[in-house]
Amino acid sequence: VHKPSLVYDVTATSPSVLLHNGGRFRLQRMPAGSQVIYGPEAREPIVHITQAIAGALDKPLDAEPLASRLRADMKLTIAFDDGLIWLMPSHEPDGRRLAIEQVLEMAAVAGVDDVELIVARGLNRRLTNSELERVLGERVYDAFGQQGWIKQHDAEDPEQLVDITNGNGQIQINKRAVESDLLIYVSSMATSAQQIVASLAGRDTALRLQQSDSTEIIDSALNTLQLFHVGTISDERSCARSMPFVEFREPNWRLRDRLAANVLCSITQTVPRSVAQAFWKTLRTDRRLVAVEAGSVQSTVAALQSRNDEVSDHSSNLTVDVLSVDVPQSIPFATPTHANPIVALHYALSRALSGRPVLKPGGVLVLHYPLAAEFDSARQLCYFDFYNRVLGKLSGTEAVSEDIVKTFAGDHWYTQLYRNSYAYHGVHPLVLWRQCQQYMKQVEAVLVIGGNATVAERLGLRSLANLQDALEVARDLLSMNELNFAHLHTPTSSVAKS
Amino acid sequence: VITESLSGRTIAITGATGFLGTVIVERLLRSGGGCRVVCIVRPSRRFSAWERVRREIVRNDCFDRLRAELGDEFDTYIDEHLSAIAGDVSQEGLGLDEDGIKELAKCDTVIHSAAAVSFDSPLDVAVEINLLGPTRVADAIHQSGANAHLIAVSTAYVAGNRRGDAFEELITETWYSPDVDWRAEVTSGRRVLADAQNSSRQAEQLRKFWKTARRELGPAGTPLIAERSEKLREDWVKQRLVEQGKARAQSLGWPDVYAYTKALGERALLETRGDTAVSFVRPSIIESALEEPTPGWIRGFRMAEPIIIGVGKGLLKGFPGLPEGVLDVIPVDKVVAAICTIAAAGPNEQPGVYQIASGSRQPLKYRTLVDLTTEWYREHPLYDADGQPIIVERWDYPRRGKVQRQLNEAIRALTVAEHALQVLPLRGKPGDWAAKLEESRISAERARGYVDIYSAYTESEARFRIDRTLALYESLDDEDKKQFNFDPIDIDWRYYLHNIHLPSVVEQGRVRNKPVKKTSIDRAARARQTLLSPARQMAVFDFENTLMRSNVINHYAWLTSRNLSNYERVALAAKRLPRFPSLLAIERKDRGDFLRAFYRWYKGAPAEQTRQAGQDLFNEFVLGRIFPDGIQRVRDHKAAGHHTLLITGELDIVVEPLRELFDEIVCARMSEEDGVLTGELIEVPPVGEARALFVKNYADQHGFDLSECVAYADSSSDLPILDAVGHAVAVNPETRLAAIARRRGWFVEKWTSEGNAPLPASIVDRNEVATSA
Repeated sequence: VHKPSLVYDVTATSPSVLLHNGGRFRLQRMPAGSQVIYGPEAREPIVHITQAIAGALDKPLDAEPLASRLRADMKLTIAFDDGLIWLMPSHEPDGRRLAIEQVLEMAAVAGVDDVELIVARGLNRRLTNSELERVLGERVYDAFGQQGWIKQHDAEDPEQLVDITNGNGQIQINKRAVESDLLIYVSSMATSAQQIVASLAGRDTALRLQQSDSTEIIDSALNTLQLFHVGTISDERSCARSMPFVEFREPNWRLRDRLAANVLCSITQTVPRSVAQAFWKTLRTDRRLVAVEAGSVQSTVAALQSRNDEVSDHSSNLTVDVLSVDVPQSIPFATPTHANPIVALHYALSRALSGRPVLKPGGVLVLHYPLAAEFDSARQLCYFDFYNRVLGKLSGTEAVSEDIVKTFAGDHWYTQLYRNSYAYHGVHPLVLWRQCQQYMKQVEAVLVIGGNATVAERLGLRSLANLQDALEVARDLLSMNELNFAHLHTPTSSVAKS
Repeated sequence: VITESLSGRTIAITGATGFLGTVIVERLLRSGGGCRVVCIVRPSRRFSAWERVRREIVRNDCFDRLRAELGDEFDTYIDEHLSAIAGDVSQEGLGLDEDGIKELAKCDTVIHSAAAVSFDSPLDVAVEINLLGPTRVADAIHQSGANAHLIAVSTAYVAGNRRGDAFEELITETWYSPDVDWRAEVTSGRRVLADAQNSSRQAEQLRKFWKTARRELGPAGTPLIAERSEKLREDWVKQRLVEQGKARAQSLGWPDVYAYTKALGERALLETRGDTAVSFVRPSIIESALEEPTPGWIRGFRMAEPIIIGVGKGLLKGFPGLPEGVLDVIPVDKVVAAICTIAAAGPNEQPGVYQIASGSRQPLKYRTLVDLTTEWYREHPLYDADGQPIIVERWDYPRRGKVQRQLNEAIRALTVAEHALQVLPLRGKPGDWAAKLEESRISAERARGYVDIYSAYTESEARFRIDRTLALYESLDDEDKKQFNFDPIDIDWRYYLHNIHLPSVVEQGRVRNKPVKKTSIDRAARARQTLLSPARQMAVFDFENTLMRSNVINHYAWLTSRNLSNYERVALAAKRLPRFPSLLAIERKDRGDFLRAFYRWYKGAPAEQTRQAGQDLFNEFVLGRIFPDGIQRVRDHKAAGHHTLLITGELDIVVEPLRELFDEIVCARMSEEDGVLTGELIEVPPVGEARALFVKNYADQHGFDLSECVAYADSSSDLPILDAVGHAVAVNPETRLAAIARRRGWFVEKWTSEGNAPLPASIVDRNEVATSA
């Protein structure tokens, strides 16, 4: 039975809470009187997947049924986002794959020959072959990959981009997408029109979309593209098979679970990181399709969002002075080996502060994370550079100047790595950092427990040894004797958002 | 009276650039009533005698007082009263030219203070300078026709290892001094040199030097190993002569070669002086100045200083010596005052001997010295690298034999451990173990050296009488007594050590005497500032283990096995495995042969496919092992406008994606036939010494100055290239290279694939960031 979200009041006899600490685990006793906020459990998966997808495609929201739009001589492009690739591989087929397979079957029936798949990656890194195979399934990957019909969007390739504003070069969008008679965009989560356009845009257009006055661009792009959106939502029980207790809420743990958790904590804390990583690599998750919607972008996005809102609404209108979050192993933009400090901070901030935040404006956010200056050289060289050369010189909340953005955006070396290797675009760290700064304006301070002090300082955070100290500092910062403290428990079901 | 008597004289001096000589020159110029001073100085390769005098004597802070007293007239005064003639005491007739002889002829007094003062000089050097020096000076005076008074500075320790009073007697009249034929000693000293040279050139020895040089440098290429091996041979010869000298000295009852050759020098001078008037001045251990020219003035590191610093650093916790024995120390200005007085007084009929020492008049007990030193250090501690004060422990007075045995054992154990570590291919932290071992070994060896050389002095029980010197002092009038005070009675040892000598030594020793923690960041930042200075012109990078953690074998394995199942991979590895040992053996010998042999494995591979696989290899394997700091450094060099050059044994297909970072890539290229790789290289990348040659030619072609180039490399096979450029950087050096880098003061970088050695923010200006694109 699906359990909704829950606010649990901690008493003196409450059990410790299991914290993710990057790829490791830790048990933390929460102070009595505080609260632990558990997210909703994974929703019941769709049982008859084929019918559900077919239903969505046949009766799309605010759009003609897909079958009626397919013609034999048409140019068809299926774009799909690069979401969820940071998560553990699933036992179950990916939601995108299920939708794409069905779309391809319909296209085959209609006799469409000119079909191409595009990874709508925006300024993110290219997907590796194995990741592509994981998302698309062996059948589609083999059939299309060998023909060279799977392309990865390249925001830096002038050949692949076209200006949709008739020559003044303002809005650059993927050429194939623009020239297609029909562009089917398959998303892996509740997305937004802005994200869809950005994922297929040229570099400068994508950067402009990050700014607030982006509606014009979105509108003209959506007007130009013959877009049919297929949105999927998958929920996961992250370790349902290998470590079921991680799924359960701590107050419901049995003795066996408690023992297992203790063992897990001590093992992950003592083994070298490479061993912990090897352990994570062996894990498979259970991610299943829970919703699928198709039709016009606006309607689909709204429908998907409301599906998420149904479950993620916390039962009470709780607001706290201090909120703590932990950072698990698999987070967006992290690589299997490294979550660099900026990416980790970004994850924590967006989880705590997006939507309707539990933390009051001007409150204190506490991070449980062993923050360290470690970077994946294959994918995040630009982060390393940004962290050392730019962050090292900025003070506190000082904004990153437009000059520096231009420097990183135009850096040939990072551009080359973005285009040919599996690296994020050179400007990626700046986009993420600016978002971090926006979030950090909403809070009084961000404290990090167990992080390297130098790294914390460089990010504008403060490093503390333990939760008690952090709460003490929060009390000082907020000049309050008594404060409401809650811990936002890592969701067992990843209602994935980005 | 002394000043007046010196006034108008011309006084020549040898050894003017030495510790004692500098002070004599200063004193004569300042208090000599305008006498002229002629320095007999050996010209160096770069500087003439006069230039040396200007640079090494006049510019020394010893002259600060005179400079202040004379003000603007200082330069004119120096030009008028100080001159130099080129001469060398190790040559017959001092090697004087005609002008020199003429100058010398004008002199009234010649002070001979040139000496090989080191207690462990090689026998040949000590013989030439200490033994024959005085005789040669007398000869030169005689030949020039001058009627000069020769004041020969000797040492009180010519008395040898004896107990009881040592009087101011001529060496020939001292009953306990062995009657040695100095000419025979000279002949045998020279023969010992020839013998040592000969035996060092025996095939067996030469092979040993070569082997040792190879072990130290690894595959660094023939020219460097040859250079090192020759250096080892020269060191060996020198060591032989040091040992011979010491043995000969001790066999005759002198503590070391210095006292032995000085004693025979006195003997030789007495025999050959002819009618030249001679006075001997025998100081004991000369230390920093009590008052003149300034309290605490000292030049260079002399006898007691290394020990004093060693104690302060906690390196020495005991030193053999007799606690109740007397350590005979005399401040340099006392010696100088005595010499000036003797010069002014002129010669006696018979050669006079003046000892100037404190032991019989104002003795400093060894125990007092130790107590005062430890007491002072407790209030003025030195600090370790972490900014923590070093506590000086209680001192003990062990027997010499025991200390020597302990040190010998420790050194042997440390050497074995060090060799063991050098054989292992260690990098990073384990590499630091070797550094620590080396450090301990060197300090142990240094301690053993101190014990060997100096314990004769701390254990000495001779009492140097200074009756004649005192009588001379008593004969002075009150004004002279005040001005030229050489009576040791007024030395307050506590005051001298605490307020004058120890502060001066610590100051000179460049040791940490303030609790400031030197952060490694500072050093790293400075290093990088040097490397990235706009003055640099080119940066040369090695690839494997310098910019990334991988090698050609890994890359081959990745390329050949990427499409294989696990089973096939194992089968392939099994097929290749037996050939690895021979391949590794080749690599140890010659990297070029290794590359040629290894690349044969690519024979028959489809060319186009392999080329495409190159980018995959880079994306999926190489890039993840790359050192972000290294890449950043390449970019920094580029941003600073330097030419960037990559030299690697990798195949072109592997390094192709790096073109963006480098102005030039030199790598291996393979020929192909009918779309298949032949396994033969069209271009063999330069390795070992060929790399250095390549870089030299490359720099010439592009008009770069090698001394303004920077090279980054990780292994001792890259030594030639590191050696060739002006700024060498050892990246994650293996043990051997780490040892060499430490010795030569090269920069060392420790880069990891996570890049957690962040570039200090201070160096790269934000403007540079903005323009680096």
